[in-house]
Amino acid sequence: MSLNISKLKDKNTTIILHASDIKLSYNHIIYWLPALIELNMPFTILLRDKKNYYRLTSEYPDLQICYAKAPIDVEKVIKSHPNVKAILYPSNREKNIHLLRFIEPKHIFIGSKNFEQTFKLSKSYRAYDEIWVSGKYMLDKFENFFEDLGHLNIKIIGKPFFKHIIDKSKKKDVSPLKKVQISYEIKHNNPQSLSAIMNKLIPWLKKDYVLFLDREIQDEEIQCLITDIDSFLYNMFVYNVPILIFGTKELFIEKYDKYFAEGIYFFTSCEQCKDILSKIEIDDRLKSNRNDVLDYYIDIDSTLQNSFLKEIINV
Amino acid sequence: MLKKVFITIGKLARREMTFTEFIHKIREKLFYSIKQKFTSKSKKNLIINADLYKKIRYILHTGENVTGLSHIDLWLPHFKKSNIDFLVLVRNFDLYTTLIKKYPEENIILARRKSDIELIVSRLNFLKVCFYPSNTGNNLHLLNFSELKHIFIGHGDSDKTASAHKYFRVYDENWVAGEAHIDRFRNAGFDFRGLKQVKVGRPNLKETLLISQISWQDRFNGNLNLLYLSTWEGVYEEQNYTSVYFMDSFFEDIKDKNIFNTIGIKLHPWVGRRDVNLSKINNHLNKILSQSNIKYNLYDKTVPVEEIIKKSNVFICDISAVVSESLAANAPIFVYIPKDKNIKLTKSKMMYEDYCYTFSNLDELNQKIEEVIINKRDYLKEKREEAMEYILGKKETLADKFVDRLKKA
Repeated sequence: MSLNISKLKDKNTTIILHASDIKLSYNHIIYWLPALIELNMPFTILLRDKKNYYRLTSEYPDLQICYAKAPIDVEKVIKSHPNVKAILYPSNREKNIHLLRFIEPKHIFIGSKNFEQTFKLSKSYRAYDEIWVSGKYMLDKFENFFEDLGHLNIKIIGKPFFKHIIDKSKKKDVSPLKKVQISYEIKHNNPQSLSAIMNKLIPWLKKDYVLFLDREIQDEEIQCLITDIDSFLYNMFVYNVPILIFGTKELFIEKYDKYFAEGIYFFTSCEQCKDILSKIEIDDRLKSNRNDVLDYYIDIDSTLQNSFLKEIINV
Repeated sequence: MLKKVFITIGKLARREMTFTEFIHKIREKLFYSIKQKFTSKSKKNLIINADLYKKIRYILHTGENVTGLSHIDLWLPHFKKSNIDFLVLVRNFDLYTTLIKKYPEENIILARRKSDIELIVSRLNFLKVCFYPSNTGNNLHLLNFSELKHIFIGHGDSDKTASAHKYFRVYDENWVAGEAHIDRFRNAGFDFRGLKQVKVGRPNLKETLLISQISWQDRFNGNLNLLYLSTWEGVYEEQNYTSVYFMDSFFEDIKDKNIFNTIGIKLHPWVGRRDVNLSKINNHLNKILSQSNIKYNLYDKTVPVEEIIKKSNVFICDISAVVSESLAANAPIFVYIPKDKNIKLTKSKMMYEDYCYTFSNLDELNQKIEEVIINKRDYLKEKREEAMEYILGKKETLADKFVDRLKKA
């Protein structure tokens, strides 16, 4: 099978979401799906690998999903969508060229969940008509990278996926501290790792702590996050809770954007961690900084006011 | 029943074994050799046939398979003329092996994966510019290096929509033959303001342009050498612009009329790829022409088109880049424009009708040949000369602008 357009129920769709990253296309689709469904407009998902095609069609039998292997197959898909207005790209991959050669639709790069943490800017982004970013953080990155943006139109749309969490976290209180999430990478025989001090810290915590080895946050009710430098995610800021990182600020800045350090408590020993945890219940001094970091990274207003949906409708 | 065999095949030990053991051993041996062959080939992700200690400033990159050979053939001689150290970077094993056989003296590298590209670029401290003759997805791996300049140089001039679309915006510069290509971008309906358009002419057509300074009627001692250049039947029927379906009747008709002194035919190498009815068209045309006394030549796909254009002074073409190649010869060009197709072409100031004698059927072709060739009324001569400047960048070509620009890139 090189092409499957047999499931095309609605050829009047105006939006195509093209995911061509073999390893990540499933995650990319899942990330954008709630927002697209909320759109209440027909859309088509175009995949370039069979495995994810079968997985998504079995999980979402009602969605319009196509699989196109070769450029010729892509051409057939485009021809079967005579009203397509915009093609959305969550990743900047080699196979995007097969769609970018079509002049009529608007080509919009929308990024993915952790795009801001993993991106590598290059001139290849100029192929798109528009780039939709989560906040001023990425807007500044693009503007600083390109001396002249030329035809590129960059729009801030927030991160619709986190709308619910951002909204819910606005009223979050850390006192009394009941639920702490700890996520870190296990590094055996490394006394310098967070795992090495966990044995001392966990009995002291006496909180209803949650221990996750997966970096992705599962529990929206958490009130505090303890992690190490390697496990840190920019998206941890959406929970509006104190973030404690095992390591020094200097080491953190070597790996991540220094701007994020302004909203983080750093510790290098169990004692320091205990001290920070005791104090934040009384005075969470970085609360305002955290909010600034989040608003710069993910535009809060754009997220809460559904800018993504508004832009899609107007495309 | 055969229970024991004595084997002396290959390197298998000369010893007694059961028949089952023998079969097992042979199977094992076979699997091993297949596996070896496969892995030895697949392991060749990166092959460096280049002197990386040279001050290599340019990369000529093709992400194509063996079809990229013609792109390299087109540009390599002109890169050499610049006297600047460069390397040819390819992504396909078969193309690589073909190239190192053909150009053993050149710096050629095979880098199949993105990581191989990253490794190579990190070793080239003097690298400044990457040149791309075609748009392929894997160009992206080099385009990721923002500190380098990226220049699209193409591989011919075509009115087809593939020659002007949004992906071109990833490059810093687009080097084109003449103003026509820039107009195609202007008329394509998208914003490309960040892409610098640079006119460099068509260096591979310089020799033909020099020959064309003698009027086509007086060239070759007054002989008329007809060249037919077809396209193929396209991926889809609606893109089927080829005239091969009826051109056999044309050759059947003219072969004994003494209008032309020689006939040359070069079919697109992909003719017959989609429509199997056309797979033996070469044999069919050969049979027709061999029945007359006319001198004819059915050119092989490996013969460069510009070489045979130089030897011709009347052209019959289908819609494709060969029209502009033939234009360099400044001689009548008859172009097939199918009537029943919705032909999607990019728009420039001059359309085929302006400088070519267009036809949609055999009658129309015969009628125009009679008027232009037999009655010697070449009424599009002036327009053709205008098109040579507009499409090919005649002035830039004769002034060696490409090599000039290359030195300054």
